Amino acid sequence: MPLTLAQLRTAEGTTAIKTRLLTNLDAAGMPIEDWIPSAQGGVEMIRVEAVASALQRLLAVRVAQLANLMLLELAPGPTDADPRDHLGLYAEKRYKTTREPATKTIQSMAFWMVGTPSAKTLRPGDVIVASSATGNRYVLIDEVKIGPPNTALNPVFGRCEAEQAGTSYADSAETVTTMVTALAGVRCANRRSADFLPASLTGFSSGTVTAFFDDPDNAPTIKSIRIRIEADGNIGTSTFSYSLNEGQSWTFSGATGTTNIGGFWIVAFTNGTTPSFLAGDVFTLLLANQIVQRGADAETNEALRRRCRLRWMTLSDVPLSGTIDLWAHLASPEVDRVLSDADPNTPGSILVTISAASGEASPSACLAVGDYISPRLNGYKNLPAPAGLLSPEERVLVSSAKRRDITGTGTVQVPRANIAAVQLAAETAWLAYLRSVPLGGDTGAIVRLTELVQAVMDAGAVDFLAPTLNGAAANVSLLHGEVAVQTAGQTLVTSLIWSPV
Amino acid sequence: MADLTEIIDPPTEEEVAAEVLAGIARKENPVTDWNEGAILRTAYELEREIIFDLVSTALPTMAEGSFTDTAEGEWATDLARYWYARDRGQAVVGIQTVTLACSAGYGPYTITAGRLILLGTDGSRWIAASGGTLSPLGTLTIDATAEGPGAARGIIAALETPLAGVTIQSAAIKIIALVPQFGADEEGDQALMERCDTRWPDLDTVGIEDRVVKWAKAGSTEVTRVKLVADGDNPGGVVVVIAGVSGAVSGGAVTAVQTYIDARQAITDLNTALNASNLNVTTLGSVTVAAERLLDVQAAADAAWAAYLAGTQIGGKVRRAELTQAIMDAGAIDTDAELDSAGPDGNLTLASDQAPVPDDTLANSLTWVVL
Repeated sequence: MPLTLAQLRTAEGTTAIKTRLLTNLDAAGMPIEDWIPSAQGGVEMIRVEAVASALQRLLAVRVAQLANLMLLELAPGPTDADPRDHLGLYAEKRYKTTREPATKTIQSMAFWMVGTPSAKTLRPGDVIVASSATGNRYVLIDEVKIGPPNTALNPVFGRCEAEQAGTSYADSAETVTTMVTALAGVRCANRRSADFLPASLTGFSSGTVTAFFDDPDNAPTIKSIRIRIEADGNIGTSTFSYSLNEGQSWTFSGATGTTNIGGFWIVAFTNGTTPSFLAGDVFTLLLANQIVQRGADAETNEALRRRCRLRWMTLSDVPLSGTIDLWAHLASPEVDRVLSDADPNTPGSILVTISAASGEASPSACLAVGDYISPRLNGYKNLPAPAGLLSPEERVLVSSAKRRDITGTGTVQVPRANIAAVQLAAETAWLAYLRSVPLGGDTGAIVRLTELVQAVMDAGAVDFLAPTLNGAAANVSLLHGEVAVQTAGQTLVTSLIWSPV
Repeated sequence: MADLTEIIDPPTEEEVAAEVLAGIARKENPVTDWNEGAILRTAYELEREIIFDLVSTALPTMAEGSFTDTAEGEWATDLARYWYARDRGQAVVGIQTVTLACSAGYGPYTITAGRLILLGTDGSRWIAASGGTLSPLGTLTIDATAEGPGAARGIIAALETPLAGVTIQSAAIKIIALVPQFGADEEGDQALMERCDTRWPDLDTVGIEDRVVKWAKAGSTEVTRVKLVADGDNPGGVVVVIAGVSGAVSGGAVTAVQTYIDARQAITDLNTALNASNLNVTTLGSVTVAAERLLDVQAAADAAWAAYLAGTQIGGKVRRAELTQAIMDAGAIDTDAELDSAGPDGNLTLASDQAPVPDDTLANSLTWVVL
């Protein structure tokens, strides 16, 4: 009798193998009913059991492993019991796709001096800084020369890399302030080194654009300023529109020149070769962040399987959403989730929203993804625009997702002896779930209350009373471009009431 | 990352023997004879060998046969066909053209296809594929095909079928439609598996050619030139202007290109195939040329000029300098040739849908002064 795939995937026991052998022997006309049991010295049954035992020990597990290695959905990833990465092997061999390793967070760190210490040169590896709140430690990876002119208002900047890889190194600004390597008179804080990153250009304009806060202490939070040139020319002749919502909508401003946008941000233009600014070109000024690169955990099995499945889309000449997704992952190890939309305002343009596993993506990841995708969009390259219209040339604008804080509340009844274990398991499951929720605007971008309940109950709770998400006993639907993250500074341990029973 | 050997981890022959032996080494199964040829010993050896063959040979072979970097032979053939939709390249028979020569006093011979066997310099056997009459002091050119498929590794140099007074005058690989008939060996495992691997596009590769241009050329073999123009009537739309080496293509080619693109473009795209309109390019002026070279120079200049126009991009510029170069490179002594209706720079600017074609030959349109 032929075996089913399910039977092949499970290592058979000796009894099952013996039964199957006897069934086959019976079908072949052997008088198995007459065979004396092995315990009584029956030679035939001893042979059958010997063969069944050897097959079980030598063959059963290997057959199951081989069967599981034949399909993407079945190949297992590494576990504590079996660290061999069957899925990684399958992905590499069948789909030419390699599991992404864990990466480290890099923070921009401001250093300054207090008192009257002498100048110092901090070399890579010399300095370790830490967050007293999370205990996360970072190591300096740049050379930093610091002296008395570098006060708190005029610090020098250097990059510090997390000691370990992973998403847990996501300390917010001004929280990494402990000099583990204590240097007399030197202070530090993780802080962005400029208001905006240098403008990235989609197009061929030779002019440049810069931006800064009018008042650094009073500027509404945005992710970026995008400047779209509406008419060719130099400063004063060319005109522009701006977008503060990642290209979703545009506001016409007027002639190019130093402009205060919204009363909060100053945008300045510099001429290049006439005409310096070309209609249709877009300058993107991303708000700088203290996190230069967000760390990522090793790619999960499901994420790797998903990337393998997306490979099918690359067989099309047209860049599909899956192709964009794969390109984004290749562009930056920080990228976790990707959302692609057609730009409602510009023909041929694609709006790409990315997030890191821990939430918002860093500005540098947005730039890396844009730089990677742009040259690969091979549709209508350099096609001049017809009079009064925009060129259909394919272009891409990349933005980070916006964080949507999620707080779970309720009362959890849990065996007193298991509180710590249940809390840890619930927290792990809940974070894993939040990281699996698609970005707002994608299918299924809903944070479900039942998932919170399941995370807690599966962890070993006895009951979960009055569960809510963000104060309501309802699901949370993510808005377009949002990424679900646990509210900063909170865990289920702190947001839920744990009641021992 | 684990490799296949680590995952299958086939047991050694000794490990298999130990497992089987453990199953029969029971007190209920007293061994009275363990000599070679004894029943129990023979059964044990058979079981051990069968299990070892199954676990340490069959299983690893199945695993290796499933992936392109380890599959071989029939496994590779089936893997390519059923997973990658690629068939192994079959061996092809080579063809040579042979000229036979007959010495005086011999012949005539009637050569019949399939009846004459020839020998290559590598010892391979070739069989006449055509025939004819080989007269004394005459020659006869025939085709000969290799006895079996495979790449040709030698030129025919002798006769195996004895014909007195007949020698091989010359032999060469036959060329059919510009393709030399070398024959080919069956595609090797490595080449086949590499073709399978390349079924996945390299994500790191940056394409150069616009995909719509590529589609237009693939849609019809007539199309050699493509220009994309933003559609002024349909925002976001694109007009795909196509032309061949002779300018405008046939109506059938336009339909074929449109159909090809429609089947592949994104549903949000609007591409409209449009035949180029021919712009007749008229040349004026004179050419000074040596009298004895007039015809050669005219022919060469015409060929170069036609090739230039055939390669000029739709909507581009026809340059006077190219006309001058075509004439002078052909061997002229001097020329003042120019383009009719040219702009101030002497060049002819084409409209966005125009492809240039010669109005007449240079031999007719220019004044040729012979010295």
